[in-house]
Amino acid sequence: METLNSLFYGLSVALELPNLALIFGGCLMGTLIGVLPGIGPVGAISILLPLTFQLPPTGAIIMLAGIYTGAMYGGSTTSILINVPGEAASVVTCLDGYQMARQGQAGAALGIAVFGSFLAGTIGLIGLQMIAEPLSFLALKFGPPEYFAIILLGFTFIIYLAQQSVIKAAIMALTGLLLSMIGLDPITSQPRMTFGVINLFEGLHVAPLAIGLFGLAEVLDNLEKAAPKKILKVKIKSLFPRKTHWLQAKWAILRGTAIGFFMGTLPGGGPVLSSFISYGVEKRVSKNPEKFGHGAVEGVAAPESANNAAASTSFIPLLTLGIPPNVVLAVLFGAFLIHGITPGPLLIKEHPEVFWGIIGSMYVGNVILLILNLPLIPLWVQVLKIPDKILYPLIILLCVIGAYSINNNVFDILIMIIFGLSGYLLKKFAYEPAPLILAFVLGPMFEVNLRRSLLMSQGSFSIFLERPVALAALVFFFIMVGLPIYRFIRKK
Amino acid sequence: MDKRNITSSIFFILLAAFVLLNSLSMGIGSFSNPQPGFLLFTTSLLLMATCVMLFAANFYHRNTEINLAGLWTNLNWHKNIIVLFSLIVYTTAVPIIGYISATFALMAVLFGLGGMKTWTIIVSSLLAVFLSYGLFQYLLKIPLPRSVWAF
Amino acid sequence: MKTKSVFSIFLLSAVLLAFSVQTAGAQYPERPINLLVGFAAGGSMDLSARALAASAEKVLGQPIIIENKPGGTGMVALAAMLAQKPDGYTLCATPSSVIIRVSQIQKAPFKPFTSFRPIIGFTEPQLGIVVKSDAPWKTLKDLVSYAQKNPNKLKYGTTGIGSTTHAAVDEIAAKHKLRMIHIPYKGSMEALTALLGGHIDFASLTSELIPPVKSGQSRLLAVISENRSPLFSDIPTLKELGYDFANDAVFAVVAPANIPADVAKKLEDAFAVATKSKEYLDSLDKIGMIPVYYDGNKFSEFLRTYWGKINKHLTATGIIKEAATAPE
Repeated sequence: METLNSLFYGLSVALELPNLALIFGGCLMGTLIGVLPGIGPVGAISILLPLTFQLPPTGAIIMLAGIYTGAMYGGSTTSILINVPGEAASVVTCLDGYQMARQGQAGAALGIAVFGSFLAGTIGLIGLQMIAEPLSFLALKFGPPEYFAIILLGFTFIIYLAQQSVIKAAIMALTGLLLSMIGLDPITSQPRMTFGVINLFEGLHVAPLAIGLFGLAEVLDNLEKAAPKKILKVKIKSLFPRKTHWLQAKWAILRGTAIGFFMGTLPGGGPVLSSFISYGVEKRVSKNPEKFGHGAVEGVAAPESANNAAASTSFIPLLTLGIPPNVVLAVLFGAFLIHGITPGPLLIKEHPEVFWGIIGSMYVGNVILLILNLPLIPLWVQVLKIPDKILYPLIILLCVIGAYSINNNVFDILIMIIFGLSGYLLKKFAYEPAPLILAFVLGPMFEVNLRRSLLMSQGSFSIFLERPVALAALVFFFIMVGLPIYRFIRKK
Repeated sequence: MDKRNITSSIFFILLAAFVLLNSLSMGIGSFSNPQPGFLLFTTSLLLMATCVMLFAANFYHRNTEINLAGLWTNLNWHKNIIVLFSLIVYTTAVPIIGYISATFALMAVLFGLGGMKTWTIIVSSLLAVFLSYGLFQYLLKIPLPRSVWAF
Repeated sequence: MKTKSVFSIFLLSAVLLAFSVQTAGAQYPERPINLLVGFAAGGSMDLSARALAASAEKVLGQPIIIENKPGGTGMVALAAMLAQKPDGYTLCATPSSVIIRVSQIQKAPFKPFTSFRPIIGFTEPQLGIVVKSDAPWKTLKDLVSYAQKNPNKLKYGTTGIGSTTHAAVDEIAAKHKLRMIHIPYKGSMEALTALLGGHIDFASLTSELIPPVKSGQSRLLAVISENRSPLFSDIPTLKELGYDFANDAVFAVVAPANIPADVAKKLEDAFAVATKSKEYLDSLDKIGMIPVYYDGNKFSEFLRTYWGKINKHLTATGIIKEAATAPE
């Protein structure tokens, strides 16, 4: 009852006219930024942060939260339409979303993504409100060994992304892991594989990599096809998802939400990890896993739901413990401080209007985003009607600025081009880039947690067996790896 | 024999060998004190092993025959060369002549590949440049590259 | 005739040039100044630079535009500044650590002592050693005596091997010959999370320690700075406790070494005035930064002094054999 009262209080804060306008502005800005590849929620919040200096604290923070949720919604749009992932969390959406678009079902894919995001975001919020406290302490219990084991388990899910050869997917994943280790060592800050190039000190950024491997590579692949055709020569079948789509997607949305819900609270992991773990789960439980990668609705519904649920619940550690679980929330943490509010255990007592105002505003924001995004779908689908000779140059320009906008650095454009060429060649040689990107994202966390665990235990691997969560994840890992090998040997 | 797998596995083995050599010079350390080269070393070893598997698997499936040259027949791959070349020229030129002029030139080349009329190329390039400039520079406050003459 | 006209053109342009140079000097700044920041927007370097710029542009009468150029752990922005004309319209805000610490580990595209004309050292993060609030240690002495009795039992987190926070703990450990397990983290936030989760026993952190100390989640045992912190005036500094160690990371604004002397002087004065404004001090307080003041000369001295100290620690921990960049 008390929770309900507080919620109404939060909603009343969010529905005050100036605040409502700020939420709307934030959601709109977030959607725009989410749609553009490269500059993601982190960049958006940091760039727009100075604009909120004049606003009252509650208003400023709910606007920034609106930008974050808006960006999470918008991220899938370019993945589906033109195979350019808007941010790391929507790389997985490319796999089936773009295939759906090629089959004339862009509208259905976008619709499922929006509805899935809405449902997941809202369920995530209910969770945020109900079990914020216990969940946040669970997150704290995760130390290096637990992370290491969970991420190791995550690597096995990468294999599920493979549509053709598992060996080739493994090669891609290992290459991604190697690429993630370019730059100053995360523990000793010694340079590794930087060849004295100062732009490589901080390592490669995931966005130019993803934009190159997916976006530019796709354009190059299409550009050389003999007659200049459209990317989508198929007729656009539907503007919105149909009943069959819903029936296929409903469980995927719920499972994706559940996965994102828990992953979101874990420091570090969050949206990206949950998006592809949920994809892997869907492929595993599906009756016809061969559909995945060829336009399976579940392959869009699950990751999009997961990353939005994770986006909601990632507020939990920030609001209750004062610990931002990922980069976006770290920037938001800075925003709180600038406005004189310290997130943490005292927040709910000292600034109830901010705490409940954020939660209320996120409910409102989800509704606004649903209303905002639905009419956009038919509009986005029109993008695909642009003739290729105009569309391709524009996609290339978008890739160029997208890569540049992350660090305002021309060097990142060069990286994007190199990986565009690599992606094109990999396609020729029948490799798939998704495992590479995911291993690249997980790589740094994998490495530091392995090394920290070993430092903690003074070199003994027993540290992974003494802790229940780590042990459970390891057992699961060996089952996942062992079963296919066992079956393979028996078949022989 | 799938020539694609043979070639690519050799490429990745060479890549792994290069990383392996580098990791040795960084120091691998021990389990109780892993050094910067630790994971690079193990990963590149694993990568080599996986590549050897891919290489060997080829000799089991002898019936599929794919040649490398076949990957590029009947394709306008010269268009890709032009695109990549102009993109690389773009990255070297943009810090000197600035976003507006460099991007205009790039877009003109890219639109030109589609075989449009000269004036359409010019108009659409100008539109693309100024719309993107307005969107990023003013709306999103991203400082696009300036030329050495500060515009 | 011909030589005469060439001569007169030459004379005319020389006069014009002299005139324009003079006016430029007299009227500086006549257009907006770009302040490059080597770290992403929203971080402590960016926010403190924005606070300073907002205050300084009122003094200078021209807008100061912040341009984030993250990369190379802060080196990309410094290199980008050096690539511009040294006319005082492109400056760079940077932590001293990029100039004298990072450059020792990795070869830098500049000479730490001679490439820059420091304008001002204006703020430093709040460094300190914290434990969880339910930990048995009330003072640093408690912690040290526990570590003496229980070698290899205590685990501590820092913001990375070779960082200032690590050097501080090393100083303590060396003095008492303590043996403890070091778990390096990437930044204070990660280390703080580990501390609150009970995965490490104590942590040496930067400004991120302020909120949890204020909310009572953790306890501050000592601050790592020259003077006591205005935020926690009852907490002793390491120096007071008998360890010769203070913070070596001061945030500064630097210009290229060869900018006109009068422009440099003008900037130096303007920034000095700017650091006194109330809004500026308020913004620093909100983000947990401690105001300090070094003028150009004092900051140059600071760089030289700490170059040697940092070098000693980095070679002692085995991170480097010798500095990767020649200092001058």
